[in-house]
Amino acid sequence: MEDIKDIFLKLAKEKGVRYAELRIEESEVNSIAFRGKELEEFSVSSSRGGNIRILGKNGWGFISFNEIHPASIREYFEQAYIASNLITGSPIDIEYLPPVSERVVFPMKKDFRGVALDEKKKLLGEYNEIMLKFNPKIQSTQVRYSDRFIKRHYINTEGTDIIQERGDISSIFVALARESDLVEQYHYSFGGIDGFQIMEGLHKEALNTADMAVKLLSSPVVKGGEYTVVLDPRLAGVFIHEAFGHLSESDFVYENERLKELMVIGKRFGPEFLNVVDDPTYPGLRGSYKYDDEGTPTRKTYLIREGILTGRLHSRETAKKMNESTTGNARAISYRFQPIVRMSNTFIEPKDYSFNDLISDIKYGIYAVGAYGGQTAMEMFTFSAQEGYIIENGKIGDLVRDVVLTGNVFTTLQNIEGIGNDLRFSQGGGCGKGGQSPLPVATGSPHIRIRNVVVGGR
Amino acid sequence: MEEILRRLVDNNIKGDVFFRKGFSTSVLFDANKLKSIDISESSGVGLRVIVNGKIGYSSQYGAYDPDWLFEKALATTSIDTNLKLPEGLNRQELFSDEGLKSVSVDDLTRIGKEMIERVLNVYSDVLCGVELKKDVGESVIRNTEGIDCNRERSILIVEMNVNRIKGTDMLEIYEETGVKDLGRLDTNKLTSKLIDALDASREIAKPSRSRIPVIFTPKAVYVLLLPIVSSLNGKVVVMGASPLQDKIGKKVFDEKFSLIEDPFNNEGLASTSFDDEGMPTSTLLLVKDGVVGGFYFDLHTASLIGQDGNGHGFRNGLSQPSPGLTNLIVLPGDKSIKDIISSLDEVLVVDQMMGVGQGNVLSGEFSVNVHLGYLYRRGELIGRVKDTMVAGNAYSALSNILALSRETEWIEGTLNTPYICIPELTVVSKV
Repeated sequence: MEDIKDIFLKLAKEKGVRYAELRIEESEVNSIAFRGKELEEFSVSSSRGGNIRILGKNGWGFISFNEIHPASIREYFEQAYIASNLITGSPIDIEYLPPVSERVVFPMKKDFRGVALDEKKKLLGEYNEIMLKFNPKIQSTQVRYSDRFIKRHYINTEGTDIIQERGDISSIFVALARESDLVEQYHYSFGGIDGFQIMEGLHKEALNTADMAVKLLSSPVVKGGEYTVVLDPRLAGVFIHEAFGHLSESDFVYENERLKELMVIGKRFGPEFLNVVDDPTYPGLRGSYKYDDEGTPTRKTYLIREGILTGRLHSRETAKKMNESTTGNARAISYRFQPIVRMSNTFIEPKDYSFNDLISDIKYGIYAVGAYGGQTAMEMFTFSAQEGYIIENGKIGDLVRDVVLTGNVFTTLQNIEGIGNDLRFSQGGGCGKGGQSPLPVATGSPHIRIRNVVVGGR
Repeated sequence: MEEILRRLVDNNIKGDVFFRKGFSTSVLFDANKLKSIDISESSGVGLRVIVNGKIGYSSQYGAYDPDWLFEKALATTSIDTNLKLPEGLNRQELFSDEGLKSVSVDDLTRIGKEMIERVLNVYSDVLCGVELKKDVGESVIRNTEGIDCNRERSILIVEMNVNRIKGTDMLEIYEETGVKDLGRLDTNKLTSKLIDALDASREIAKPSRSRIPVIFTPKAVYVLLLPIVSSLNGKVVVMGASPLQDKIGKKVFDEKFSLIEDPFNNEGLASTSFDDEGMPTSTLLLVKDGVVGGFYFDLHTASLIGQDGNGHGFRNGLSQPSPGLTNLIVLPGDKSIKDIISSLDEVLVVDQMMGVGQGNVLSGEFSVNVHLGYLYRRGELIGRVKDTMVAGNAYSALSNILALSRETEWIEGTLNTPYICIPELTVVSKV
């Protein structure tokens, strides 16, 4: 590694580049999956690769590769250098930072590398059995698990040399229930960076997943229309990530004058009790890290404080361009990709209301629970709840399915009427952007209440 | 590869070795400017072993280590299988147009710049993003039963999006095209489509009723096809989760609807005569005149229900084979899209959606936000529709089709489909 580093730094100096970086990444992934009664996946894969990124006058030259030895590094540097000089257009610059030298190891309580493959398989098999045997209407199940240990070595021409080592687990339970032609499914998705213990003792969660799939079979499809909606912490977390969080990513904003006008710092975005935060320094979550993939140290960023837009997420380039500070949000899912502006742990801060306070004066509304996923396109968003309940005269009533919420983020944030006191984080799945998916993130929120939400249905 | 294969044979272990190598160059424009040039070189190997009727699997990107691959593959032999590895097929396939292969970064940059200029000449207030990507890939599948196939494929993919913001109204339109012969690349057509869409988006319109006819453009048709394609996936069938499980030979869809998996299509980007397990591919009539034809399988999945594979085991990167498709074809109808639109009092034409694939895909239920759509009355364009959701069920929608257009388009180079008109769907608009 040292010889490769030396070659890289020497070439950068010879060519007189303003800024260049080298990342070398090693990872090993264990994947286990059951589908129905069959073991579907049981495999191990490893990867060793790297990239070189060079800042040219007007843009970036980037090359990713699997061959890592002195001769190939020379050739890759040359190719990235040529590419960086081919870019025409207008000059770009980045925020420069003081050099750092550090090795960061995220500790695991129970290191998954010390758990035998067969032991992992046995535990997952138990959860799968619980769901399969729950009820004859359970047609099939899935239990998927993967653990990944990544070591990333980052070097740049500022003199920074950072090694970060981190484990990451991602898992999902899915139950499919069937009655004649009707098939319904329910899932429980989770993950974490602090060790294999998060996989233990989930028998109750497996049971609940199967139970909900069966219950959805006999629930009606929600009637489309406008409702007052209460979102549970999981769905509210997805909402704030999808609907608002992505607009805070400066690479959307920084070259777009009109969007800049819309996203002006100091502008009111919601009621004064609304605070939205992105915080990679929050300990122990999937979106927690100390340095981003440009070697920038992380910090907590208030995106909305007391309803006012107060900050946004940056890479070195967007921070420079917008004359704001770096936040440490330039992330890449692997060495195959350039870092782009991404969220980390994004959440709505808790306030005072209990769940009961939030629903007690709703005459007719929807309580939307859990998230299938969400998508945004500029100001428009849609996200799907896993289950919904009618709220009638302040009481939770019947289960309904296929609850899909949609709207315009600017009006929807203004329509938040109340925020609960029960902040919870979700760490399942991952975020996708620019072809890079899934990126480990956490989303969080207490229960929140929003008026005039369009719910799609029939 | 040779070494791994020899080791399998020496140890009397059945198995296959999959090798993949790729070289790609992409040129990225953002906000009307050239932003970045990305080069990627990759290579890796996947090893599948079958020991005492159980599969084990390992894979490695980067310089590979046969010892490690063997150790991990043997440590994971747990998946019970009856799969029989294919024998003796020996094919070399070359889908590589020399013109396309020799396209340089300069060429890509020039094409991208011209595309942006064409749009800005008509609409100077929009922001354009373009990605042009040349991809040269090679894959090799070999096994202990004598299979030795390799494929080289070069493709060029061009994607463009335009963005316009007025007040709090944001408009985002995208188009893409993919070719394997440089001669077929038509970026003029792509930019004309974007300009036409900008023209059509000047006014905002609202549907007058909550149940109206809806036309899905080729770009949008996938929301209807996704549940069908998922339900015909052999894995879903093995799970017993497919709503089409026991519908083979039965008429489930409108007789105007036929869906074909065509690995031998001349234009499709995914054409191939063998799959990633070395099995010969086959054309599948997934749905013919509304009648369900059959499912698609890889070898292991097929063996679970006592069937033979049908040459549809494909790999995602270096993953194990699973059921996959090449080129999907929806057969066209006989009316022009113009005539279909003109024949209706009011119709919503949906071109881009958000939320496809969210929710319970297998059930066929969908509820999507119209990201880009237009309202027509008696053939006259009224304007762009926004803040609106369209909901329905893909099975029932495709069992009652008003019309399919005679025009078809390629989507991502792997789906060829006409416009599909459904007589009535639920449309919810924000008041």
